[in-house]
Amino acid sequence: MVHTRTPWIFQDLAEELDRMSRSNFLRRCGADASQNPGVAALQVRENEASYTLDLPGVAEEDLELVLEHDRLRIQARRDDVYKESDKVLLRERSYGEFTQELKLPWPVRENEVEASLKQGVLQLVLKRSPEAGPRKIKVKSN
Amino acid sequence: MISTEEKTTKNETTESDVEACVVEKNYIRPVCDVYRDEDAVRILMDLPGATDEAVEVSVHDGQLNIQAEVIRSEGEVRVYERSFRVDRRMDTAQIEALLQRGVLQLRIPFKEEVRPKRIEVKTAS
Repeated sequence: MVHTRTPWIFQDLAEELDRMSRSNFLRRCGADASQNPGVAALQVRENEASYTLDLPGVAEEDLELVLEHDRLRIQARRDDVYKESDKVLLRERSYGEFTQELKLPWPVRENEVEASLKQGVLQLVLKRSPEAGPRKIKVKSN
Repeated sequence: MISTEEKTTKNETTESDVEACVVEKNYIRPVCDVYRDEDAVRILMDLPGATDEAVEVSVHDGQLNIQAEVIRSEGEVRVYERSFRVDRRMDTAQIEALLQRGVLQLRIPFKEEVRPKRIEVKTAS
């Protein structure tokens, strides 16, 4: 048997805490954040940005991306896979809804967003919209 | 010894190649869930980015080891590593492993002799 038993006296409490935390996909953060869903790497260059986000166990149909000008909202969900009869020995993974909003320094070209979800990793390439460049404003003189 | 020919090729490498020739591996203890029913213990482990070939599951001396090496798009080399002690009641020869959407699912059955046996009760006719 796996060496991760919760003493029986704490089981109810542990289960309750689990239930509470299950609703929050991003419950773990800090030192071990890199192991969890929602951990991301963003690289912004002058005209292009790439974004990598770990979403292990998230199906394509449970992922939604909404782009609005210079903001990208990522919504994902991961469902609980336990049966009532299962005895939980250890629970570190999180379940439920997950939302992340990304704000870029420039508006994004809506038709040219590249998105792929492979092996539980979401990869995005976002391109800068041309009208986003510095605009010259003509000053009228009388 | 490095031949002259090799040296010439080496000189042609770009700056980014030189930077990438030594990359530190980032060791990560992946998060997991462990649960059990009457027949088996199941482990679910998040290994985002891992392919089938990259995942290694082995059992040695009562220890179950899971390792996966992943090269991330940013160039980071990530090694997921985690071990478990498994006792004699577990049938380690029958471990089933499935990798789906970056999640490794392991099923370690209990040995036949320790599984609960259902005894059918017959009514005397």
